[in-house]
Amino acid sequence: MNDREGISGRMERLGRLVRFAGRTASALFNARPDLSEWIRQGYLLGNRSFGLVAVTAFIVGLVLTVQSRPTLALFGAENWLPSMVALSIFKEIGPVITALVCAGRIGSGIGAEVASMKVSEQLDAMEVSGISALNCVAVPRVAATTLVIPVLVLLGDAAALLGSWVGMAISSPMAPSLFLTHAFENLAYSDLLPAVAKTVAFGLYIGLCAAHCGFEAEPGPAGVAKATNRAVVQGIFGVFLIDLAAVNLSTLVFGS
Amino acid sequence: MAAATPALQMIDGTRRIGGRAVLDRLQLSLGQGETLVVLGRSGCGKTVLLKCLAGLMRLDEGTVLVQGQDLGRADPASLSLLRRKMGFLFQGAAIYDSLSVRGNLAFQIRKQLLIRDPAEVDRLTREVLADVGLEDAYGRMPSELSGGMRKRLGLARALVSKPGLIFYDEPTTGLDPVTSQEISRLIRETQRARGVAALVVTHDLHCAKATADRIVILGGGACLAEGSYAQLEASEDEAIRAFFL
Repeated sequence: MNDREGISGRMERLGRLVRFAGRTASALFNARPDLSEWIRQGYLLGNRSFGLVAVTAFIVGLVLTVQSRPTLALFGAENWLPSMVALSIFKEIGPVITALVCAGRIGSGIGAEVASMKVSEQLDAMEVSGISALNCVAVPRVAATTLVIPVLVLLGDAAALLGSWVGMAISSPMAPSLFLTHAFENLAYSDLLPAVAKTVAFGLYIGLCAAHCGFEAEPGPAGVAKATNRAVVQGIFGVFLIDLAAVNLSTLVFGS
Repeated sequence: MAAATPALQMIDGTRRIGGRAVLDRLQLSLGQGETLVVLGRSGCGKTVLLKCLAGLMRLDEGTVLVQGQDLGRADPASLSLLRRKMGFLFQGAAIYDSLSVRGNLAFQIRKQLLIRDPAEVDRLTREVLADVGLEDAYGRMPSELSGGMRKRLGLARALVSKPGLIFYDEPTTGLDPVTSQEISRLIRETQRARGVAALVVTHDLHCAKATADRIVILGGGACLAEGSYAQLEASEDEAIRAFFL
């Protein structure tokens, strides 16, 4: 399939992704999970992405605070800044920024690794000897992203709050404990639950999408490059679509 | 007395790619313990044939029987069991690059034979490495191996499950003449020592001569000729003789 695939081509690809998700789920439930491989993948993915997530979230928290402050000051509502920033970070910015960073960092890594395994016939080598490539390659990576990305989001949220506090402290010093008290005073479980739920969905999607792109890689180095690129682009696009769906769903359920 | 079931059979195998019949009602049979070499020009469908026989690609029409069992009709569990009776040496060896030599074989032993005892895994790893003359490479990474050593490792991995049938996809491609001879000799020795049936796809005449009990020449998706190396070399048909020039 060429790069300029039309709507039908994209729908076909989506259909194959759904089928791949079904096969991966079936592989997960039909065989004993290799927990040591899950942990190894989780450690690799988390370790590889934590620094980038933390720095990105810290900067976002800091910039958000510095840029929002003058506007709030105009209305004499500077005291609301920690609370506003915390709501933005926990409900939207933290999960989405972390998921986007992971779609790039983790998605490209999984896409390239699995694609090169496909191109060098390593996946066929497993299949031909009766070893499920889905079970050994896709399942541990998808499980790892599903479990690790929510943890990275929480760490990213903490880094963003730290950035926000630094942003506040630049112009008017505030004790960290006071900042945190203000930050959490307007947060409710109904704000946090949908946010955590969507991070699980982000992790599941990023892992599935990247592994699927790898499994569908075309032959040769160009095939690996294309699969890696697709893993990132589709990962990012999917994160926004899931976010849109999650926001609408949580508004429907929680009313805010 | 009933004849022994062939190790492998293709009956009326047809596979089309992009509207072209790469395999066209192909008939093929491989006896127990026999080594069959499939010769053919590049692009004649040798690799497609191999993938269809190993169940990595489906036939559009026709049947593949492995030890008498229909590969196309096997449910996933039986297919998995059937595949454990097969070994496959890929053209590029398909070594798991992120694992060491030991790791490659240990992975295969754990997943294919379902053996978890580390001492037993280690014993089998050393045993199969010794079978292919690769004992010294035990702790090395695949990136540290030469082309010939990678092929040996690929063969070691294929031998882990003690298969009754081994597929070789261009086993000597990309190797120097001396290493090619070594690999051809290893294929022959493996066949003799273990009595396995082997299907070798190649365009290397030296490899074909060294390993074949019988040769099939593939062209236009069908079998152009069949016989021993000597019979085919002596053929008066120009199209067949062209392969031996």
